[in-house]
Order: sequence, then C-alpha cells, then structure tokens
Amino acid sequence: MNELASRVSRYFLDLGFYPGQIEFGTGLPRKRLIWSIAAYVLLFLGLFSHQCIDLSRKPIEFSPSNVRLTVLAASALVAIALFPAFVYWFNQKRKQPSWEHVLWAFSFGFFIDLSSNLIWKKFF
Amino acid sequence: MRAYRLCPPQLFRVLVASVLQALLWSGISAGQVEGRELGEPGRRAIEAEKRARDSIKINHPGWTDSQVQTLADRVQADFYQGPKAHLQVPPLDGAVVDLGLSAQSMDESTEKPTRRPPSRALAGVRELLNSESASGWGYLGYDWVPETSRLEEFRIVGLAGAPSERIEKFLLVDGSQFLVFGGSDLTQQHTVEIAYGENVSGQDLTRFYDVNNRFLRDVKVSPIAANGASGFAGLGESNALVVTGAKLANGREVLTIYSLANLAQTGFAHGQAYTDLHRSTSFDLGLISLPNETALGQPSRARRRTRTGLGSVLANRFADFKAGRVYYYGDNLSTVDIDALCRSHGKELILRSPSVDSSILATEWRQRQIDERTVSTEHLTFIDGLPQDRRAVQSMGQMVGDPSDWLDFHERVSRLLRGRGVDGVTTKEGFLHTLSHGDSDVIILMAHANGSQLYLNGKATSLKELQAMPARARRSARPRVAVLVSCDAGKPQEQRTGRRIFDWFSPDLPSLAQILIEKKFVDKVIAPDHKIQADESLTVIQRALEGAKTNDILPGWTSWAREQRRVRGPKG
Repeated sequence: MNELASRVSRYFLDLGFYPGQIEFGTGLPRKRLIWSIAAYVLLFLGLFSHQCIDLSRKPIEFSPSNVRLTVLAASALVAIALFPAFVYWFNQKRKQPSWEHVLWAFSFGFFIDLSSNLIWKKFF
Repeated sequence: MRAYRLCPPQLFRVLVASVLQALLWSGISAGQVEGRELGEPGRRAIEAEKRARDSIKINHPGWTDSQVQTLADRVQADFYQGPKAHLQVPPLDGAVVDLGLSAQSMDESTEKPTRRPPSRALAGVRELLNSESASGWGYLGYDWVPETSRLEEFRIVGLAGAPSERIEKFLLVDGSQFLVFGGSDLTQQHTVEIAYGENVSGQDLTRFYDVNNRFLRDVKVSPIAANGASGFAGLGESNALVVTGAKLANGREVLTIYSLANLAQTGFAHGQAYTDLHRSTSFDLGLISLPNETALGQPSRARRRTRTGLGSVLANRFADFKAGRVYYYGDNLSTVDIDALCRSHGKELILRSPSVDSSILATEWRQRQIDERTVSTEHLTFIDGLPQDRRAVQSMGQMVGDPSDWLDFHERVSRLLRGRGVDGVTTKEGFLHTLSHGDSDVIILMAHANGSQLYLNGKATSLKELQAMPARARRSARPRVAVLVSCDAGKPQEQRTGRRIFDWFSPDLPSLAQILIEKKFVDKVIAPDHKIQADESLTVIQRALEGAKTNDILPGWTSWAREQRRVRGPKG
C-alpha cells in the first residue's frame, strides 16, 4: 500500500526534470522540486487566465468575474491528469529546463481550459 | 561594400584588438622610457634598499619583516645622510642601548625590576594589559631617554605590571624593530611582536589575548623537549604558519602570525601582530612615470606604494613560502578573507577548534605524513553508499531521479573496483565500525545526503547518530585520510547555512567532514566544495585507486581538517 502511494505521489510530483542526472547531495532534488512546483503554478495560472477571458465577447476582456469555480475545478482535474505525462515526455526531449518549459506549462493550462470548454459546449 | 566583404566581422575584431594592444604597449613603453630616465640617486636608492633587504634576509633568516625593515631603513638613512622622520633610530653601536633586565634575571627572580619604567610608558602598558585575559602576559618596551641619549629596555609582567607574576604566556614585545640593535634573547620565551606599536594602544585587547591563549594551549600539549626538540622529525623545515585572528570589542581586527618551523626548532611561539590599520610600504621599480619630476633625467626617487589592511600582510607572508598549510585560530574576520587568500596562494587552511585542545605539532606531523604518501589499495576501504536496487533508490526520496540512472552508475563503480582488492563496506554497521576502529584510508561515496541524513544502500543514517558516537580515544596509528564524495561536503558549515531559503529549514548540524575530524575518525578529509555529479565522482575514485597523492586527488577539491564551530565558536 505504501509502495502504491509512493508511486502515485512520484508520478504527480516528479515531473522528470534534469533526466539522466544523478547528484550526491541535496542540490539536484531541490532543483527538481522547485521546477515541478513552478510548472504546476504556471499550469494553474494558464487555466485561470483562460477563465478570466471570455472569448465569446467582442472585444474580449480580461476580468476575474468571468471565473466559474466549478469549471475551473473540472479543468484543473483534467490538467492534472494529463500534465505529468506531457511534462515527462517534454523533459526527455529538452533535458535542461528553460523558458520553453515555462511557456509550455502556461500554454498547457490555457488550452486545456479552452478545449474543455469547447468539448463541453459541443457535446453537452 | 566590397571593403566590408574584404573585412569580415572576425577580421575586424582582430584588427581592433591589435590596435588596442599596440596603443597599450606604446603607453607602457613610454612609462618604461621615463622609468629608465630616473635620476641616478633615485636608482641608487631603490637598489640600495633592495640589496640591503636581501642581504639582511640572507644573513638573518630568523628576523621578522619589521626587523628587516628597520635595518633597511637604517641603511637608507645612512644613504641619505639623515634619519627617516617616522623612526627614532638608535645609534648602531650596540653599547649605547641599555638592555635593562635580561629575560634570565626576570624569570629567576621575583623581585621588582631595579630600573623603574618611566611613568609615561607605564600608563600606556597598564592600558594594554588591562584585561583578565592578559594574566600571565608580560610587556617588553623601549623608552628613549634624552638625558642619556639612550634607548632603554624595560619590562612589565602581568596585569597592571604586578612584579611577582611570572610570564607564563606571551611577552608582548613593543617596538620589536629595535631588537636588531641588540637586546634580550627572546628565543626561549613565547613572544608576540607589535612593531611600531601596531596601533594597539588604547584598544581593549581582551579578545586578542583570548585567541592567543587558545593557541598556546595547543602549543603546551605539544611534546617539546627543553632543548626545543619536538620529536617530530622534519618539522623544523615546515613551511606551515599559525595565524590567530581576533575581532576586538570596538571592531578593530588583529592578526598574529607564527611560524610552525620556528616553534618546532625553539619550542616557543614567536609571533608578529598586525591590526587592520597596518600600513606597509613598497617601491614601484622603474616602470612608472613620475608626474612630479620636472624633467627627465633629473634626480628622482622611486614611487612608494602604501598598502593598508591585513590582506597585504598575509599575502606577503604567504608569498614567502610555497605550498604549506595555515592553521587558523579565532574569529571570522571581515577585513580579510583568509580562506580566499589561502586558496589563491595554494595554501591548505585548517581551522582549529576553540574548545578542543590538540597538539599543533602532532597535527602538522600527521598532516605531513599524509601529504607525502599516495593512496594505496592495500590500506583503503571503500564505503559504497550507492543504492543497489530500485527499492533502495526509491527509499532515498521523491526527487532523486530515475532508478535506472543510479543502478547504471553503481555498475560503473563496481567495474572500477573489480579486481583491485579494495575492502568494500555497504552496511551502516560496517561503516560505523570502519570509522571508529579502522586505520585505513577511506573513500566514502554517499548516494544522497540531505543535510541531516546519509543514505547507505537506501538506508538512512542520521548525522545526529554519528555526532553522538564517542570520539576515538586515540587517533589511528597510521594517519588517515577520507575522500568524501558528496556534494558541497568541503564547504564550511557557516557557508552552507543561512544563505538560501531551504537552509533555514535545515537543522544546524555539522557536516560529515566536520564530524569525521572532530571525532578523530580521520586526520584529513578531502571533499568537494561544489555540487558533483556522476562523472566527476568516477574520476575522483579512479584517481584514488590509481595511487594519486592524497593532496592531489583532484584539483579544486578542498582538503579538510576542520572541526565544528571552529570559527563561530563561543568566545573565550
């Protein structure tokens, strides 16, 4: 049971930054942790940003009043489910974290929220 | 456009660099020409002083800088037919210097000195020795007596000049530069010279006394025979220095520098004290144009360069000998970065504990034994802390990386060790036993250390546990070195804490290197002062297995013989 919990937490927490590197101290694990937290923060920032923008209005406006918490929560769940696999794959391609990771994390959140909304509107 | 094509950017950069270089050289050459045109008296002055200093150093290798400078000043004064303003130079005829009471008579007699020190000088000395910590210290000074035109030596012993007290600690020699004109034999007495007074008057020197008293404890536990023979062969040629640093109550900083070779030869410590107000003067020889000269070829003097502070003092002393070691006692000074200076001069810095007494000569002797030998696989134990399976990797934490990377690395290390006959230890029990009972050198490869925990094959061992172990009653018969392959293990604790937000949550524990030294498990630790990764670790292990000299395992790795709280220790 502990091992399962450990695996699950590792899946969500260890996003695979600095792949192929080992270090005999605390430095690298700390950097990995910082990047993972930063990636999640950017992901939620992307989600939130899209929520604040109502693309159906002309001109589009940025307003926190557009946020619908239930939709935001649903999008967040979808994002959390997909995001680790995506970042893990991306880290295999780009072995050193950079602005690309920052932009991708933000964009991922933004477009997950956008696509969730579109899917919701089209099918439900 | 065509010209531009002929001159691509790379060529353009080369051209610009060449022009700049030509301009620079022409400027320097101009200076040299003017320098060559220095007047004859100026050149003679420079050469005379240089020759005088060299000659004095050759003829009196035991003299301190201040003594050499004094005699050089005397030579220069003769050259210019007049004394230097800042120096009251006594006549060279030794007969005119009244030596006062000799060290012998003071030590054997508890009676009051027959010649009473002048009241003016006495007041200043009382101020200097006005500290509980100065108990056991004495003072030797000189006083110019106009009536007799003589420089007279006088001594005061202990706090407020109590005549009954013996000088059990140091004799503070004020105006030590005058010793070159004759004076008491101070070789059989611990002394600290304060040349030209060294700006110590009016200061609360309590901390200075404390730090030097601390050093003296390590001298007193050194087995030195009455004739000065220390029993440690070869230490008479040691180029190690002992430096004590004290931050006074008013913020002034005082360094005292001792030669360990001198200590080994005489059995007594002879130091020179410098404050951060210290000024040293040197000549710029010839290459400088002199704007105050009216015309080229006129009589001129070389430009004097004056440096202040402790950095230049230490740099000069470090430049006098190659390699070697610096033992440091006392406070973390702000006006001089001793660690950086040692690094830049290739010196090994060893910080001494404020609380643990250990023979300074024995320490140096063991360090030299280690320096002179190579790592031998016959006397080597390899502490293999690497995880050996996936479960062990996972038990080290969430962010340690892909288990296959660790297992691959372990395989590479195993291949290196195969067939070399090195004892391997992979368990915590074996690790602790090796430390507390072994006498072989050790390579400690710690898979992951998070500041308070070490992992041996995925099993955590806390630093607290190691710290709680009893120290070895006696050091191993064979001086022992540990190569610690772990990130930042060569950094002092004070550099590793309080700088980053994560460090605020780290327990204030000494590093593994510090514990190994403090518990007398090993005599020396060689460890990196930076983050290391797999390749660098393999290189170090390979070099050690191939028989590298212990002080040359890998350039850039720090040699350690530090102990916990050595710098930031409790005062007193």
